[in-house]
Amino acid sequence: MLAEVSAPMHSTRYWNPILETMPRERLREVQLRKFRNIVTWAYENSLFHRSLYREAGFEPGDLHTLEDAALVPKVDKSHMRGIQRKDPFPYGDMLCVPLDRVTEFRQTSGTTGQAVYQADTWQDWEWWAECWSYLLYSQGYRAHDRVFLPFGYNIFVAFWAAHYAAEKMGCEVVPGGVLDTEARILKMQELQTTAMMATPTYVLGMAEKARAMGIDPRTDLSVCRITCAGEPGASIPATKHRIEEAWGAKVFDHCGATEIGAWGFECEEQSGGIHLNEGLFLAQVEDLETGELIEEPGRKGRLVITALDRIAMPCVRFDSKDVVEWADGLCSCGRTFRLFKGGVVGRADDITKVKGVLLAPSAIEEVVRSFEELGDEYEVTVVKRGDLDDISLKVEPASGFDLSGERLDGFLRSFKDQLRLKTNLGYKVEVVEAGSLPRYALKAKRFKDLRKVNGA
Amino acid sequence: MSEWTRGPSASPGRPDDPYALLLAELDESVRALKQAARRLRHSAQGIPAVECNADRILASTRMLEINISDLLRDPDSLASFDRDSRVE
Repeated sequence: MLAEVSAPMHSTRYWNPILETMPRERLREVQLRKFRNIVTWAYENSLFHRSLYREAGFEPGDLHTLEDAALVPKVDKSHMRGIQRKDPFPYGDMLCVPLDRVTEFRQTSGTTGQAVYQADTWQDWEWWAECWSYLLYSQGYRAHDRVFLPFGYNIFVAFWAAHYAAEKMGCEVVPGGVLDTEARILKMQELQTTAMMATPTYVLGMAEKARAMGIDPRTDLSVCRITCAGEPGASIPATKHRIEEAWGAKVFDHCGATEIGAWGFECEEQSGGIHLNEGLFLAQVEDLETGELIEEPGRKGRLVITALDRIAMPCVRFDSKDVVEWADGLCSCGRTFRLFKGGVVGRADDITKVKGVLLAPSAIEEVVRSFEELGDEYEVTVVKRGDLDDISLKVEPASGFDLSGERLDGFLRSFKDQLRLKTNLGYKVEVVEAGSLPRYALKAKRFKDLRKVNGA
Repeated sequence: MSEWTRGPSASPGRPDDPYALLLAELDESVRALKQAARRLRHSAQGIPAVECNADRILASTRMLEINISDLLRDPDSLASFDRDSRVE
């Protein structure tokens, strides 16, 4: 018979209350042990890691404290690209298990270069589902939910693990794989699905499509919970608000990557940040320019992260290029996992200097989506004219808004003021015909920096 | 080792230690499950239906270790399977 314990155990808000509410100093002890174990595993089973560590003069025995983690050489996508398509084919010598233990192949989208191939054993796949279970449970998913997954079920990891996690939790999962958007909406209506998961771009696009079909997602569909991933939108307040308004549902953010796992989640408290799942991951935040470790709130840095239990292709000190900022204090949900304020606020390779000012594209999105006169889509283009950067922004009017004549002048004044306020930059703004900007089914590409293309 | 992580000998009822006894008891069950699944795997004598289903149980058992047992001590291996065994 199991021991009876006091209050927290009977709470239903945590997937694993023992780990999620563990005192921080004890959590750090567990993290240190697990970090040592995964580093040793990588060193002993992967030629790639062993060579990398030896070249840096590092041995796993050098790890005595979590501060020593900084001694472990970082890995990024370029390392992985360099060794892949070689034996053991196609993963190369980063693979730590025999090939016949690999049960899952996925690859990155390749938006920043050659796609990275990712191997997982069945144990890793169980682990992926475990990561997702933490996040879905924290967002209120329960066995009574009927969950719709409108994604392609293909070689990208996307929401695959969400499917397995929702199943594990007892939800009824409806795979919306090969259906087109219209068919997906009709199926959601027919089955009265209560939750769904997709990129923010696609969720907004679905709402637009539904309205065009004469279906109001707020009243004609039963979705009360949406988990977004793949883009920062669900942590951008104006975008989150827009999705919640369109669907009449609560919207949650989640962060993860093919090479890392599902490492972060926004819980039901929605305290303005995402939890780092510190039971399964160890994160360090490094200054974007100096690489100095950032422990305090208020400074943005680059996320370097370790998956503490992933074994086929260990993710040890992976430079995610995600830009994050520690939040001040802990969440009121009772978890002792730290929060990143505002989620992933940008990508180190997206944040760029325009006219000498650091610009994160998400800041533009925050302004665009805070204007009810504007539709969901926009497009930013930066070019070089002579020695000067020139930044233009195309937007569409929202349905039912007439942006012409004096109305347009008034709108542009107010819109440009907000853009300058939030980004410290001036823009050439063009209001284009509704529906004329590209629509995206997965990750959107709304920011185009043509300065290098121009050869300037 | 901290009091929270000291396992079966931990005393219940400490205000900062609400899970110690439960954790120890859950860990004991996880260990028994793992032992049984390993025994099943090794005694399968090449029967795929037993080997492969035992492998799945062991992978799930590893998730229980991650949630429970690893909080008390290091696992005997990070892999739920014998690295040198082959799946035919």
